[in-house]
Amino acid sequence: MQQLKQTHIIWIVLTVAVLLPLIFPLKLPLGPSPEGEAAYSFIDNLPQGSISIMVLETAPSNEGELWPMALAVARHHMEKQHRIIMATFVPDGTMYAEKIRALAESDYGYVYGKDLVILPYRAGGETALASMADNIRAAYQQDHYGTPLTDYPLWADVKSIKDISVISCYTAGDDHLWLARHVWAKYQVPCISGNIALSTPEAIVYFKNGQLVGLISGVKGAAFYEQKINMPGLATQSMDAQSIGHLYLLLLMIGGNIVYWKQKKDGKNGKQGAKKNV
Amino acid sequence: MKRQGPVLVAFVTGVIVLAGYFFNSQTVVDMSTQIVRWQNIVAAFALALGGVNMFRLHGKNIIGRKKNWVYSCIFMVAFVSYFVLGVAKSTTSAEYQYIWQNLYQPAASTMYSFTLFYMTSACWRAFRIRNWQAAVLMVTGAVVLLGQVGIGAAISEAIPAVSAWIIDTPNAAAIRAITIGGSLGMVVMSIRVILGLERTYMAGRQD
Repeated sequence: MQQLKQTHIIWIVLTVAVLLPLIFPLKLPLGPSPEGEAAYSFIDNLPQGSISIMVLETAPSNEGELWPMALAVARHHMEKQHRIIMATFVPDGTMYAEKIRALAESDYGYVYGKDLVILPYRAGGETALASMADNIRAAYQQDHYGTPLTDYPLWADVKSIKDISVISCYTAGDDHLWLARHVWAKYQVPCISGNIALSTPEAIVYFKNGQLVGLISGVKGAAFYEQKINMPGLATQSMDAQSIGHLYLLLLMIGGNIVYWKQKKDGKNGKQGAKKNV
Repeated sequence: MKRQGPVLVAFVTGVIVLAGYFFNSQTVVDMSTQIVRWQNIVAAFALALGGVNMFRLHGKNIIGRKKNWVYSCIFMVAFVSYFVLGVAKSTTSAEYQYIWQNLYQPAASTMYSFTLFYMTSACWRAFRIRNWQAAVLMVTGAVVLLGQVGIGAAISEAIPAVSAWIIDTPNAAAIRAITIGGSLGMVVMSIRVILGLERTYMAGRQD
């Protein structure tokens, strides 16, 4: 019962600690993000009319981190008047693609089929991406709505994956590895990976090796990108909350250890007591 | 034939896909691409199989009035109605998207958000410094944790710099070693599958 109360206090403090910065922003500095800067610079230097593929591996479970960065990159493409093809290998991905389409049409005057196309969901994960890379026209004959892709002027300019200026993915999985393996290694098409922060320690290796031209990591990377395009959005709003959340986690770890060492020192419970408390 | 058939399929497809990656023959590349496309079709069937299995599992729960069978009823109603809606009006219809955006998306996001609460209470109870290795782990974790957010830079400019060094240098070295080691293992396993030496994928038995 006492344990339950302690847990409840931890949770209540967490809720307050995360909510307060959302209501009263602290405007903490973001710090550098060389890999995010590289992603921004690469897209920014693409000429008008370039075709990019955005692979939206986004789902409700990871949208807190991935959706803001996908939205920021999509806005950047639209600002630069790049043409966008959206693909997905998770069932929920097309829903996010629809949102980007709505934004493109309402805010940037994009015309579906001419400036933007949504490809249908494909099962298979890595092999689906490999199919797309090997022969995009064979891998997709219709768009997300069932219309033949040959009806669209945008598709006429896509003969193979080499016609794509950049492929970016937004993923909680291994898509950065798939891009490096099937797109960069075989066809030398530049790739950018947007990852959840948890995947960054692995994905950053591919950026350092030059297999990714940019990397956007977690909410921090998304917030950095939003600030680069001068459009603070979801990620910028939540950065302060994440900062305080991380600090709180650290304080809990330190506090937990103080209690543990104190118990050990007092010799009340010794090793057994400490274990019991864990 | 029951055993030789899958081994033969694995051998032929494996060799062609491997050759398609390394050789510049258009015929081989086309064959390899075609096989990879077939795999996507198989994956789509696997997805359907998963749906059928879920249907059977929850159907049995309801018929047998097993524990929590009421939840199975809720699953069935949601599963069948959303499936029918998707097939009848297409997954691009306004109705289908309305349900996804207003029911599934918030519910799923909320459910995953709960994990933060469990992580928080785990920080209090689980991260114990019992030896010097645990101390190194905790200090490293703390620096990276703070370096990833603005408050790290606000406390000291050194925190994001040290965090970046940890990720870029010792972490990258370890990840490369793990990746290369894992990849070598995968190559060996693939060769064993192609040559028919590894057959556990057939029925969970080696022989």
